[in-house]
Amino acid sequence: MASIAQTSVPPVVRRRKARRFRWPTGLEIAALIAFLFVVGPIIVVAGAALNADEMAFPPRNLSLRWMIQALQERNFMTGALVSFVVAACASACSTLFALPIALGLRKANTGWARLLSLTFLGPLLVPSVIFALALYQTIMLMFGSSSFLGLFIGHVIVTMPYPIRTITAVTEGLDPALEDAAGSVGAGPVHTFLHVTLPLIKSGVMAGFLFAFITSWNDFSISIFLSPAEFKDQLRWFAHDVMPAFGEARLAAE
Amino acid sequence: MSATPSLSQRIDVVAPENEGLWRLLSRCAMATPFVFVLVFFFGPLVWLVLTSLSTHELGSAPRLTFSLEHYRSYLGDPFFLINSVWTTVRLAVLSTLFALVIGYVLAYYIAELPVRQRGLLTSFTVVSLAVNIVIRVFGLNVLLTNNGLLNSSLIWLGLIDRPLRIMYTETGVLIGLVQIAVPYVVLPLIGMLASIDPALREAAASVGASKMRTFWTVTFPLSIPGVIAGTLIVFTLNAAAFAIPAMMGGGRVRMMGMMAYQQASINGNFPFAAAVGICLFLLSLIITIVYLYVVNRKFKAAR
Repeated sequence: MASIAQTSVPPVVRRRKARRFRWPTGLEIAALIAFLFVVGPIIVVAGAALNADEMAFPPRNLSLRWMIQALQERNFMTGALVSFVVAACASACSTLFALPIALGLRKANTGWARLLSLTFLGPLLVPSVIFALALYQTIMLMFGSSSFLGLFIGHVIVTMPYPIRTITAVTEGLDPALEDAAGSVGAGPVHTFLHVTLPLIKSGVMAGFLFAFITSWNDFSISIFLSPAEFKDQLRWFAHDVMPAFGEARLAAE
Repeated sequence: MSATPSLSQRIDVVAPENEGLWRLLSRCAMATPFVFVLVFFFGPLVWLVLTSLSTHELGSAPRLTFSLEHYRSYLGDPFFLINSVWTTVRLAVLSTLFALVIGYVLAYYIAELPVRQRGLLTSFTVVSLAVNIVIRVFGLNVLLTNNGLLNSSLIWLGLIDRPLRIMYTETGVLIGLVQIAVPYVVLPLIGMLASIDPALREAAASVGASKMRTFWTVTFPLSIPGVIAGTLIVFTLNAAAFAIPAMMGGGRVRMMGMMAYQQASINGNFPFAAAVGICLFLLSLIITIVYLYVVNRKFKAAR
C-alpha cells in the first residue's frame, strides 16, 4: 500500500505546488466518497482477516495466522487453479463470440438489432440458481453426464451478456466513416478489422472480458450444478472463500 | 515521402484477398454464437416453461399437465404481488439509479485523471469487483450493524442518539445492491468518457456555455451508450439477485430471485420456482425494452 501511495502522489503534488493549497472541488469530494463506498467493505474484511483471534474491525493483535491457514488448505489451492482455468477459457470464448455479434448488430436495422441484442442478455434475466438448474437438465439431456465441457458451456453462456453489452456500447459510438476510409485506400477487411476497428473498440472489449472473467471466477450456482464429480468438493469449498486474504471471512460468514 | 512505397506495398498484399471467403467467414462467426445461445439459453428456457406448467407432488418428479396453477397462485395472490413483485421492481430500479449516479461521478473523475493514475484507480475498481459477493456483504455487515463502524462514528459525532437500524431492513438490501453494482457502471463509462474528444467540450466552453451546460449538452449525451451498457447489466443483475436480499435482508425482504431460490431448494417445489423465474424473466424483459425505447427516443436527436 505504501509504495502505491508514493508512486501515485508526486505528479499531483508537483502540479499543484504553484498554488500551495487548494480546497478540493465538489467533484473530487463526491468521487472520494464514491470510491470509499466501493472499496470500504473490502478494506474492512481485509483488515479483519489480519486479526489474531476473533473478528473485529479495526483489527486487534495483528497476525497472518488466518492467511497462512487458508493457503495451506489443499482444497483452496486446487479450487483456485480449477476456477482460474475455467474462467480464462470461458471468458476468452464468450468475448470471441461477442465480437462478431456486436459488430454485426451495428450494421443491421436498428430496431431489430436492439431486440436481438436483448436475446443475448437472456441468461442475466433469469435468477442464476433457476437458470443453472434448467441448464443442468438440458446438458444432461444432450450429453448424458456432466463433464468439463458442460461446465465450460455453462460458464460461457452466463458470461456472454457482459462482453455483448460493453462492446455494443463502444460500437454504437464508432464512426463508420473511419472503416470506409480504410477500405477506400485499399485495406482489406481483415486489415481494416485488425488495424482500425479493433483499436477503436479496445476499451469495450477489455471491460467485457474483465466482467466475463470475474463473473465466471465468482460463479457459484452454475459450478455447483455442472461441475464433474471430481471437482465438486473443491468448487463448493471454494465458493465460500475466494481470496486468500479473506480466510477469516468464511468462518464468520458461516 | 518514405511512407508512400510501404503503403502501396501493403495495398498489393491486401488487395487480392478473397472477398467471398471473408464474407463466408464472418457469416460463420455470426452464426456460431447465435446457435450457441439458441441451444443453451432457449433450451433451458423451454425446460423452465414446461416445468412451470407441471404439477408439483411431494416426493415425486413434476408431472407435465399444462396447468397454470402456479402462475395463478403466484400472481393471483395480492400478498405475493405487493411483497415480492413490487419489492423487486422498486429495489432493482432504485439501486440502478443510485449506482448510476455514484458510478458516473467516479467514472467522470477517473476519466479526467492522467493515464497512470487512471490505471491505478481503474484496477482498484476491478479488484473490488473480483471479490466475492459473500465477502463484500460481510464487510458491509461489519460496517452497518448496530454497533458497527458507521453507527459508532455517528454517535460519537453526536448526530444520533440511538444506532440506526440498517441491517435486515430494505435500506440495508438497497445499500448492498448499490455497493455490488457500482463497478459495473464505472468500468464501461471510463472508456466511454475518456474517448470523448476534449475539443468538443472546449468548443462548447468557447461559445460561452457554462460547465454544467457543457456537461448536459455535450458530455452526457455522448456517454449514453456507456450508461445503457452499465444500467442494463446492473438492472438485470439486481432484479434477479438472491444472495444480497438473503444476507442483507435476513429473509424479511422478499425479492423474486430469493423466493424462487427458497421454493426450489428448501421446499423442493421446482414447478413453482420455475413459474416465479419465468415471471421475473418476463418482467425484466418488459422493463428493459421500455427503458431502451424511451432512452433511444430521447437521445436520438442528441447523437
